Amino acid sequence: MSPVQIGVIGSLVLFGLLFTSMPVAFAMIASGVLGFALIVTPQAAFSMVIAELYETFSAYNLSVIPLFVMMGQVAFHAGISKRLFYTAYIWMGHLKGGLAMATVGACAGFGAICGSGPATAATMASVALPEMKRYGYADSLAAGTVAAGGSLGMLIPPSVVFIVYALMTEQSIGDLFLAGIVPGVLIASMFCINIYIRCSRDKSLGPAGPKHSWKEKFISLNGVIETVLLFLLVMGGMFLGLFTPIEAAAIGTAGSFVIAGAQKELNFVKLKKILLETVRTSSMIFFIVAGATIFGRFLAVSRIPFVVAQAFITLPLPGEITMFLIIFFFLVAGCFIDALALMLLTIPIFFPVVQELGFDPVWFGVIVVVITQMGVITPPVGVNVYVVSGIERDIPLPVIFRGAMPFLGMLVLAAVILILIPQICLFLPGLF
Amino acid sequence: DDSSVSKAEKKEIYRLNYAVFFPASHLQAQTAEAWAEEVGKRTDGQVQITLFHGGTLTKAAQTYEAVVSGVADIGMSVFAYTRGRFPLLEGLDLPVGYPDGVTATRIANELVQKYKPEELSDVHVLYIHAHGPGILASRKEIRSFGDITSMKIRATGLSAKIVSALDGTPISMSQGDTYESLQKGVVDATFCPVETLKGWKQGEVIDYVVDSKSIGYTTTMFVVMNKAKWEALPENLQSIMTDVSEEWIFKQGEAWDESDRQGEAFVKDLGKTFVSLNDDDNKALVEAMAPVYAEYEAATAEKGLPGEAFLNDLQDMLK
Amino acid sequence: MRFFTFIRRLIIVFAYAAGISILLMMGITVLDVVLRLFNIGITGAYDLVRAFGVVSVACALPYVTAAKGHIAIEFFYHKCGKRGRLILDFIFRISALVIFGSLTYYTFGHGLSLYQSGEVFPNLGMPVFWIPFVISLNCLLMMVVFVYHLIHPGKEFIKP
Ligand code: NA
Ligand code: NA
Repeated sequence: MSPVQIGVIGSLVLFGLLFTSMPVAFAMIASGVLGFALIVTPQAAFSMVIAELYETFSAYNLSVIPLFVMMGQVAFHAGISKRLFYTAYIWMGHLKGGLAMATVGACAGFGAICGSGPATAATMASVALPEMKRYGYADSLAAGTVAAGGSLGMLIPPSVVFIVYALMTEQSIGDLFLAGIVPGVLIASMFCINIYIRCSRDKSLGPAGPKHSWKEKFISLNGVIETVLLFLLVMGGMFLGLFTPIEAAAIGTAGSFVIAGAQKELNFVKLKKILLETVRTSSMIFFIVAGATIFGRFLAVSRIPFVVAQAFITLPLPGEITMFLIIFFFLVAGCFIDALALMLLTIPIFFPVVQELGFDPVWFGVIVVVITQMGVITPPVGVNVYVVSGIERDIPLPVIFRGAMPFLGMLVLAAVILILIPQICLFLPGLF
Repeated sequence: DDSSVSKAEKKEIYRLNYAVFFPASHLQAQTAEAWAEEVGKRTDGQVQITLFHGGTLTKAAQTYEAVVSGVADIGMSVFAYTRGRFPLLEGLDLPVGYPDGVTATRIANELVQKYKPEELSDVHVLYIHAHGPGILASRKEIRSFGDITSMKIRATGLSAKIVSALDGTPISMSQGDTYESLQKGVVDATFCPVETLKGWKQGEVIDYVVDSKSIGYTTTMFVVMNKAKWEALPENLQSIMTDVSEEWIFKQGEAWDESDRQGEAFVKDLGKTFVSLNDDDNKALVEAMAPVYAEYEAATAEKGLPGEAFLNDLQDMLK
Repeated sequence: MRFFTFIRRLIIVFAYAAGISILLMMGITVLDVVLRLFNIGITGAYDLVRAFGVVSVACALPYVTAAKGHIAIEFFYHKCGKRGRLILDFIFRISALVIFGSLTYYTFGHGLSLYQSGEVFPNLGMPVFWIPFVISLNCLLMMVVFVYHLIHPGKEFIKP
């Protein structure tokens, strides 16, 4: 058998294993080891796995993942995220579907301090879901909003996906962070409009809450002070040159501990919970990253990436069509593969093609993030949906997937807009 | 019979994977590619080498081990990425004042030939190469030796020791993060070969390039092959690969100097200032390196390695 | 039974060690950034963050596995009957045992070879051989978790 044939079979084995409910990371390692062993040698295959586990676990630049996850946990357990959500509620709760819109706002706000989409979804599922249910919101709208809102966390900086993309493609992390802000705000607004229209049509979906006076509204602004402080600390310090984007994660986490401690919101029990929840999420993410790298090494020796990339370059199609095919590929693959793993697997293949075609690499990064973020709410592999269902166990999975569908439509629309008007992504990084 | 056996042997094709950590766009990767093509040409296609650049087969720090274990058949990477594994050859990277990449590369190969270090016994060495002298690129003005102290300088491993010996503050980070750190002022300067200023665009965010050739250090790199794969090759193919590798010692060194020239032109085009230090300052720089040498000699002596002789040979060859 | 209780405690202790490593990662970086304001650098900060990073991931893996915290596609799994699910679980756990058994063995060997080669972290000069040993030990703990899941299908080894 030729390496390419083994590569194809190995990929099929991966799909087969995924469908047996084997965890994604295990399936990637198992099929990667098997294929590598067939093409090279079994001893080399295990040597490769060990090297990749070591390299991934000890990668300095990936240290941002556990730190940002921890920051989100501190914000949740210290009530920082709850107060943020409450403020949004005071301002928007009286509108039809206002609580759901407030949730979108809270997701965007939390996304600004948290680097991880699933962490944003988890935090909001714990904070916003019970509130929305209490005010008689439909399960599908409430859970769907939280699951979809988590994807805002990936677009609004800081964002783990942007960092991984920047490192893989040698782009500036700062440029990507800037490029994500406007699309993030755009998508948040589109989510809100969508919620408002749907709730106006169907009163039972998201009934309006009580109206609050301007005085109450301004008093409630207290609740966003902590989030604003953290945002200023992380982003300000980075732009003033006090620390690198990687170090910013540690500074932000320390800042959240300081704020929580100053408000006497921390105790030993909470700290234990924060530690366990953080290591559970971040270790799971690292294992998936390592698994994807290992599977990627197997794909590399199988030479499939070269063959596919070559096919894409030599395909006698206009650049726009090739770009459309790439985006379509991400959309389909995103149904099955986690956003981060998908990027790690496919960016090395597509990035040179995109560069060859003369598209802006920063713009492409934003597009990829928007498209892979569709994947976190589409079945069968929808990480954010799983996270929400893991926290709110009495809402069935299909209900959450269905509730997220309208938001998926908005993401598709947003992607089209960003493709037609690249300046939405590019003008902010162009300013600095 | 005999003739058919030798005919079958002649036709046998050896396919080898070659892991190079430089991205495909880097001159070093292209020179390695040319080496692989030359080997293919002179062996009449009997040795076919596939290059994996940019660390797509194995990451830079894992390349040596990958060659030992057979993940890659041939590998090019940096000795210093696995510090401690090559205690004697660490001496090659010392700030002895290399004038250029060709010299550093030539000396490195001659010393490896002469000392045949035990630490390389688990692979077959094809050849060694090394970049031109590391310089100091700074966003703050440097006019004399005294300006260097109290600066925050991006440096890793050995260059971090040089920075410490100069009383500066070494800060470790990847080359990828250095641009932003220089731009924002997280670091004031970086220690690197001039070519890095172009390759990683750092020339845009510095203002001064200080000629510190008097303490020019290098980063030595290996091109090594899996031992079993090497021994499986018939003698005639082995000798062709050895010949080509010998020719590439100069080519790879020359490629480093070409990169340095391009880097220098890039920084000049940007209108940045090149600074030469006066003789007293250069003397002070060299004198400040004494503890770095002493540390190397002590570390090798402790392991029973001839570090002192190695370093003396190295310095003699530079004279 | 005692054996599993002991392992369960050990896994939780390891998980806390992982969490504390993240705190240390944070602390070192903050200290480094603050000291830098005064032109003092911690030479080993970079290496220490990497070392704590390994501990924080490796030592949490058995906990994630025991608490069934890994992401999996259960869409088709749930469409299978009870028997089908038992078979799928069985296949997964056996193959996981094979993979992690090999990993335990090979990582341990890698640790030994790093010990002999004397490799150290680039900046700090601290040895690296202990890292594969940590990973190997955690692979071993994961095997125990898989054995438990094999004997008690459908049960979590540790409640998340
Ligand atoms: Na974010
Ligand atoms: Na999906």
